[in-house]
Amino acid sequence: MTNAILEAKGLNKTFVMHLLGGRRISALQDISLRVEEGEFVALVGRTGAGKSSLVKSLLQIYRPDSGSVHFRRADGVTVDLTTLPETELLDLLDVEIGYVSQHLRVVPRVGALDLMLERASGEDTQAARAAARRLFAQLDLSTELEDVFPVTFSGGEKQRLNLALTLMRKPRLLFLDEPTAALDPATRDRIVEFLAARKREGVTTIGIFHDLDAVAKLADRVIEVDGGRLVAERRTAAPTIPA
Amino acid sequence: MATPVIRAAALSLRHGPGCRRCETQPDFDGNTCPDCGTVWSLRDVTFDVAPGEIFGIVGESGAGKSTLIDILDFALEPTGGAIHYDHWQGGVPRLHSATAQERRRLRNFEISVVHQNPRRNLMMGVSAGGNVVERMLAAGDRNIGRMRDAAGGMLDHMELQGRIDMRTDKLSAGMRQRVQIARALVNRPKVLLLDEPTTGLDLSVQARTLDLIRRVHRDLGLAVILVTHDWGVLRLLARRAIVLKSGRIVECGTVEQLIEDPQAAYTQLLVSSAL
Repeated sequence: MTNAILEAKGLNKTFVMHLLGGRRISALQDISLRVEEGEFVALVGRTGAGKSSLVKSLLQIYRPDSGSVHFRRADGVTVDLTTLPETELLDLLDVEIGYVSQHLRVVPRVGALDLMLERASGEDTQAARAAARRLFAQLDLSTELEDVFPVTFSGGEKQRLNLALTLMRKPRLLFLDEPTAALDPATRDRIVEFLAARKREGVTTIGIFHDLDAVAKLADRVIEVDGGRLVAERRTAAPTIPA
Repeated sequence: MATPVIRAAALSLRHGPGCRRCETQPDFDGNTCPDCGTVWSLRDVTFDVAPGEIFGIVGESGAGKSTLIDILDFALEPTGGAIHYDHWQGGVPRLHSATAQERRRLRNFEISVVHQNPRRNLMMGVSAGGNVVERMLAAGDRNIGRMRDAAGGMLDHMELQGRIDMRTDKLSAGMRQRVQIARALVNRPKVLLLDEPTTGLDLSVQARTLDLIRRVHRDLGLAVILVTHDWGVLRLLARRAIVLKSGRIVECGTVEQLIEDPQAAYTQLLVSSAL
């Protein structure tokens, strides 16, 4: 591996549904994928194609049946996430690898800004507060929301808070599951702009998108997933928001 | 990984003589041996807990969760295996080989438990403050003023301001739970055992208790062993967990793995039954 930050080889994932008489459902078949440091990769495909399964298998939220997922850490050491001890995996997922799912899951009755500050490990509160407020501003989250419990947020606000919470840890590798779904055009543009800025900072991104306009603006490479396989891949000439 | 705080190694608790079948090849479901009738409350339970980690133990009633807590709390002796506690006097290789005096010290200063039923821990006819002070007395403190201040501070921290002189049986269930937590924490243990800390509480009290546990965990840097049957609670608090059924571990993993990709039939049943 030269400049690859992530390299998956031969990933397979089958679900065995014990409550349905042991029915087997194949989610991923022989997936190999190499992602360079700083690259923005968009995963596209219809619903149920296996995009989320792929992301979750890379993150070890799903435990693949076979295959490897090598990740190059900030210290230059490459580790296989599929065999890493759980505590080390969780530490990596806490700090170096971020994942923005489609659902915001937070502790009830804690305000948005406090949730952000909890993610700021090792920073002093002043700096953390400033970083949190900066993220809020960049994502168009009103300062009025700072002390509000996220359960009352709108769908779009929850989505952006989810992104902000993940970015608080400054991950080197970012996984996104439809970050622009269900957003109005102005907010969507704001998020695209935000992700482009992270890309300029060198963050590597692997994102699931249905929004082809966002893909055109952000992605260096587009990979189509279908039936649990990678079926097509193209390099975009140049993302319209340049790196 | 940092040295674990607690390691359970092939921990077993059985009631009965045992026989060749249940000792060597337990090929039966449930925890009762069909040949000799021996009941295995726990069988070969192995796990480790990292410093500062919240570690979950999941399972339904009768799975052995509370038995495990009782063993860690010295209320029960295991019949097989050992618990290693690595953060005291260079490590206690086998917790249950400690002398009575060492056990008292371990319970007073190192490992505290919050039971599902507050009556197991609290003296109901005694004030909230008295319950907290009792732990400090047990730990050898004799300065009434200092103890009262410390107990008051701890109760304030638990959002029980002004309740220090109230009798525990006059407090609500949520408050009793918090008195228990105050009592468990006043001697600054390294490990906190929480047995179903939010079960039976109203949703708003539950949210408050969860927030409190998180805060305490963060502020004191404790390792927490959290016994629960609530996946939502587990997801919000814990990073790793084991799933117990009939006294055996059927699956272990990160909490996300157990919820998103449960592999054992029993885990799939539990996860798919969650609201």
